[in-house]
Amino acid sequence: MTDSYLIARVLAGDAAAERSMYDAHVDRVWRLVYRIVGDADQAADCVQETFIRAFSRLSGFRGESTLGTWIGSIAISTALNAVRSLKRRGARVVSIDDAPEPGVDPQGGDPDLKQRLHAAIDALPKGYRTVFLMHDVEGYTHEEIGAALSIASGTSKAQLSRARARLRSALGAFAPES
Amino acid sequence: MDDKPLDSELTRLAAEYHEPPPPPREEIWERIAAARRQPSRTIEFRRIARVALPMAAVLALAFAMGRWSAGEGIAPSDSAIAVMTPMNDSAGAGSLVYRAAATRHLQNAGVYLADFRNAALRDEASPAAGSARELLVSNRLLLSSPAIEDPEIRNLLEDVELLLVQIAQLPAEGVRADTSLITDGLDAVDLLTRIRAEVTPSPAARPQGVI
Repeated sequence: MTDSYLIARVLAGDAAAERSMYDAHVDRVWRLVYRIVGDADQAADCVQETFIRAFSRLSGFRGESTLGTWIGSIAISTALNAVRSLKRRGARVVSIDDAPEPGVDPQGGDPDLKQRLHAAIDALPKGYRTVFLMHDVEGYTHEEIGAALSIASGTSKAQLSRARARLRSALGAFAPES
Repeated sequence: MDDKPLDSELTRLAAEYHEPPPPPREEIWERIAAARRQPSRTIEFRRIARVALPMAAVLALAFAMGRWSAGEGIAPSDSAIAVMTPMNDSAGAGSLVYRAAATRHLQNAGVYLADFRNAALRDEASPAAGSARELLVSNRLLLSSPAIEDPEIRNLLEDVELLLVQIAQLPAEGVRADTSLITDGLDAVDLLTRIRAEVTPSPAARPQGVI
């Protein structure tokens, strides 16, 4: 079933088509919002809101990107808003200053590369983190990221480079040679 | 520019960052279906009514005070504009009630527009467009009221209306170019400064025991 046919059926009020659209995109939306919010309950809320907004705004979808990219842009906006709300409530605040110094293990034991990498990802600026997660972790292309975030694909590439550079810098001598 | 991909070990470890479990598809779908069964028109009406009805009540009070204060000098069939024309000290009370309603509305609109501008400058999500629609309802009530007299209030309300209409029509996910146009328009007419000047009364201009 093509996107345009599916959209027409949904706009005509076909409940089965709504479910088909949900089934076609829910896995990708779930993976993306979960990567951003990092919590199952929050991710479920975001996915719910994403599809409610997508269904209610579907008549305004102009086909300038694929349906999946359009839904993805709603998902990202929803997830980033959720993270912002969490930060306002102080539930998930990670600053670059809170990340341990490169090469220093606060526990005095063996350094944990994974833990340090995840802390460094947490400490990335919002834009860098989103592009890094979408490209290097979820496999989106720069064109898809650009369309989803309303930025040029060149900006996406630049943000990814800076994100990687910051991660390397945060890990310091701890990172394996590439 | 550093375009080298991360080391394969780092890439593998990065994939474990917030690694998603399988999605609870059915549970989420049930919540979506339940939410879509809600009568959204009723919700929208209630939200609008929550703002519009108190404003309408204030305007009705302004009209009533205008009629009462005009007394025998104005026939009941005269237009509302005539009713709100200050005839004596009491007639001014109707205007003051209108001004109080307009000032309160402009304060709310100023806060909302400042939030919108700040969010746009920080490249963050805009405040809810629903609030813009609620403010638009109040704005139109005030603009269409025959009690409006002050040309500066009218100009402010007209400028606020233009911006609120644009914000209310923004897509939910936001479009940066549209948002920039709105903030440019906001700055071009120096709206926030004018609102602040209007809603901050000088000590001499404060009403003395009329309302």
